[in-house]
Amino acid sequence: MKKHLAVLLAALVVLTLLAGCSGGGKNDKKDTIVVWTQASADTPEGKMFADRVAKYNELHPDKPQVVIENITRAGAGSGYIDKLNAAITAGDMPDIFTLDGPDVAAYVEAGVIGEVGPYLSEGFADGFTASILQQGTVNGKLYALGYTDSAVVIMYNEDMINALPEEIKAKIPGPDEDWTWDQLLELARDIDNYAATSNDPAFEKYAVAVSTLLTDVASGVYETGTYYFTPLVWSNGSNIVADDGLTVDGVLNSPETVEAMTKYAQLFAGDRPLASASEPEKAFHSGQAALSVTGFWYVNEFNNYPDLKYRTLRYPKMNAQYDGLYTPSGSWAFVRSANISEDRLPQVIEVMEWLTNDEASREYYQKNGSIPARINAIDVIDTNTDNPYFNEAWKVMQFQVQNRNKARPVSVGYPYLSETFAKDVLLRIAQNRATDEATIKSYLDDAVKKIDREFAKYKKG
Amino acid sequence: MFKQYKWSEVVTAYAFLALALLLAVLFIVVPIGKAINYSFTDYYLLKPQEREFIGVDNYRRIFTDELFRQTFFNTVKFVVCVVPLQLSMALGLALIVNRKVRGVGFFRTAYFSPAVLSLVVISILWTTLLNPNNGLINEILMALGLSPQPFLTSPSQAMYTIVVISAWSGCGYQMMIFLAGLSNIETSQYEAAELDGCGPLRKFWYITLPGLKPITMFLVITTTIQAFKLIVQPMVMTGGGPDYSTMTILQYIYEYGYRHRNIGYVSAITVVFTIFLIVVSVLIKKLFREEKA
Amino acid sequence: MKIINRTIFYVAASLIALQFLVPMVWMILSSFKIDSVIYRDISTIYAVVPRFEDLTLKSYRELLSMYNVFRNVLNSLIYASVTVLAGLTINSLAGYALARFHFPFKNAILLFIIALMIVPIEAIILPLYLVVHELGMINTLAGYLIPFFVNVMNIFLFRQHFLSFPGELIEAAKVDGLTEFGSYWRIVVPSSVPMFVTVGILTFLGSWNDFLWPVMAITKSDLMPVQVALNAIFSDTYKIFTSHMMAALTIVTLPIIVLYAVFQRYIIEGAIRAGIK
Repeated sequence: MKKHLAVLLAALVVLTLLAGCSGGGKNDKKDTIVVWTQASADTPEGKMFADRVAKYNELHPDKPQVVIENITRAGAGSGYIDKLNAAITAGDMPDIFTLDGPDVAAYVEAGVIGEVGPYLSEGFADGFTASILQQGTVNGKLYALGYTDSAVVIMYNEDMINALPEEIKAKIPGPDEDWTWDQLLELARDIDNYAATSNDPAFEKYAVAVSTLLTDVASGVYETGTYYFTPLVWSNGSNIVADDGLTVDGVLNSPETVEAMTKYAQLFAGDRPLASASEPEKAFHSGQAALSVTGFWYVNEFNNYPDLKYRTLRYPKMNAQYDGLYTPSGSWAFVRSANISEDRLPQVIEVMEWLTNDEASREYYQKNGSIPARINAIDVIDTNTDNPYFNEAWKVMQFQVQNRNKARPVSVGYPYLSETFAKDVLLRIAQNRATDEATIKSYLDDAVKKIDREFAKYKKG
Repeated sequence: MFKQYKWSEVVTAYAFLALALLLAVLFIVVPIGKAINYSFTDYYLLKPQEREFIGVDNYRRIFTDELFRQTFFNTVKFVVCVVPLQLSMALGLALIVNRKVRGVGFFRTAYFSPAVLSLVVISILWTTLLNPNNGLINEILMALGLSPQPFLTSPSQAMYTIVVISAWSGCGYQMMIFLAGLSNIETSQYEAAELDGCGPLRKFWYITLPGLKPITMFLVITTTIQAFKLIVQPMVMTGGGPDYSTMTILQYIYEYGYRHRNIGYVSAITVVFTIFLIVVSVLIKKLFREEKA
Repeated sequence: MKIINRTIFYVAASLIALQFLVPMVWMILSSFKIDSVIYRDISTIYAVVPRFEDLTLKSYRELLSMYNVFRNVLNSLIYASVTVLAGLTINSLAGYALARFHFPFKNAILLFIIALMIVPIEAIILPLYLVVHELGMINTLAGYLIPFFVNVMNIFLFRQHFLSFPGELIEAAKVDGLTEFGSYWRIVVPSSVPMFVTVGILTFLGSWNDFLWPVMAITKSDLMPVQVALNAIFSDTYKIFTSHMMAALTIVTLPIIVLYAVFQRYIIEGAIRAGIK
């Protein structure tokens, strides 16, 4: 017995030492370049980054190798942004990491990411599309290199629509027509009424009229909500924050915003709501939803759902008279840590260029359907394939990227702003199924109060 | 004055105690001190150099913070529901398996088994079982002719769902403690009562319950304190939603302090919450004592 | 009459047992099925009764090709073992000192320990995080593990236990030339093995099941303990289906079931001891 205990104690000492050492060596990754992304490892997006990095390491066996870590975006406490923030707070950041475009300003203000503009090779920056440069620039300096642009459209399930009576079918606009949320709501209501009584096999799996991906917001990916639905506010002539990036009172709770959100609330009203914050996983992909607010990345996911016949419509406006920009745009981009020593900086920049150059853009489109962020790579989108659904989707998205896309607001407090708007307004309306203007105004007022208090820390200086 | 101590014994004693005291001071006392210190500042973790003393503003803010008020009431609602439910389930189970028959060990093990699972495992498992679209529980409800329920996705049901799951997973533990208490009650007391012609109900009321009183007091205190510290279940199952209906105080501390790094204000909440928990446990103790007198 | 009573007991107790066991049986069974089979069976008795032709290891293979769960299990085993060994040593020594020796401020220290027992540790988790942060130990194993080595409750339990330890044995040992530590190590510890096992098991379970602290203290994937990894897998809805998730839960629960089977007596003993003292 004594011997056993002695062995145990020895083991304890060794293990504690191990724990101390392996954790103590903070700069143990000096000889590698560490990259973090928000794509979970098993998604096409995660794989395309892994492939790209592998190719770099292969071509440069003599240089410090690049190590990539793909981290799932959702998950309380363990999601990408939480982990990134924790690492930043602990002074343990990766050399290169991804940020969503509108979040860049907040990280610049916090002093955790460094400028890249002056270090890029000659003419590299000019290869990006204007909106990608705009999203990566804060106070006139370039910080973030986008690897993809984005688009959101409306899609419908062709099998379901074909089963509808002609007078409902007639309500669907053409792929090259503008339309409004009023039209969409009316269409969705008709479809749902029909589905309630129909025995048509197309509706066999029908669960919800419109898929909204609010489940993302419920599981912590708040930005999906803001990204998908801020256009309702924009196309009603308002915004969620003023141009200074810090004033929300009178903007986020303006009559126009209240009106737009009250319209949005119609999706969740009545005994048979048209949309749900707890819709089934991949509701549109698997034929459980007739309509869908659809991000560009769905098109690539549809490869796994060969039976789905998807048709594409433009993102609707709130106010038919609105003629400014309004569709969702921008996406994740690569940034670098502010604490990179001068001797490592050239290679870090080289890796960032490698991850975002013309060749990378083409590769990302082919592997993940990412909309190229480089001018020279845009021709890679082929809208003459033998898949008409695919062609139609890309034609509509190309049109929006070129003519309708609007950048999300620039604010040093954007992460909190977006989280609060998504959780306290969009998700709250959906879960409480609030419909009256007064309640919705009170939600917006509450959000304004919260954001104002949080933004006090930026107004201090 | 230290003459009555043996020098070598004193040295040995402090050598034995040193590490424990050092760690206890460093990781319990110092954090409390820091919380009190920071609670009077506007500390934002990313900008330590801008930290300023702001008096009792943070404490004042607690009383006007509607979200804090909601998390407080959510937590109280959980405690008020889960403590009686879990303890009565535990007592009921203990009474059922408090007999010497073949196979009783199996039943004890079965009832106790959820208590060794981790809260994360329990939370994920039950989220799957309670999925409103295709979960096992709704299938059972429908098989029984009842209508399916939204459970965790409904603001009005989510907290009660967490209450039931928590009681389910925790009651086996308290059952074991009740069993230990039951075995301490002298059988002669029951025999005497039987001679007096007492039925099982009266025996339960006049012998079992009073006999269990000290243990019950202890369990009420520990279960209550434990319940006030609810966080893992809502974190994993609902993220505090729907519409903040399941967000607890501790989760608010985590979200606003750790995720959003507003150290100053959350330190004030930490101080108030810690004092509150200490007061609650003292009050419950008092309550039981007075009843005794 | 007795037979009727007994029958009622068995029927009632079995029905109740079902409510505790069905979720776990479903979890384990579903981990050996594919999703379409899980949801085909879900409204039938086969949700909880195995049919051998349905069972497959597919979900385990797929899960382990996506997430190296065994790595996390190994991490947790190491963390829990270190915490148990360090915790037993530190806390038992302190408890022993408080039970056996006479020294100045003994009562003050004892009072201090009892006072700390009232502090709800989870409530001060944020300032604890700040302390570890200011020590520069976030994201290090030392910063994650050391704060939970000391457990004032266990110090108190050990003290109560050692109070009743016969002093003559120790005196005899000292006559044989053993030092205080020597007699503690060779006489006291070996004859208190059940106590050490009981406290050790409870510490192990606590460390294995902890979630909140590792979420805050560890952000590196390869250092993640199982509970945090589980939550991350649960959030990855892209490729993780119900069967994968149930496989992950089963893998994580398995060591605990083994532990419970082997040490059941100590676990229950520990629950009661921690409960009543």
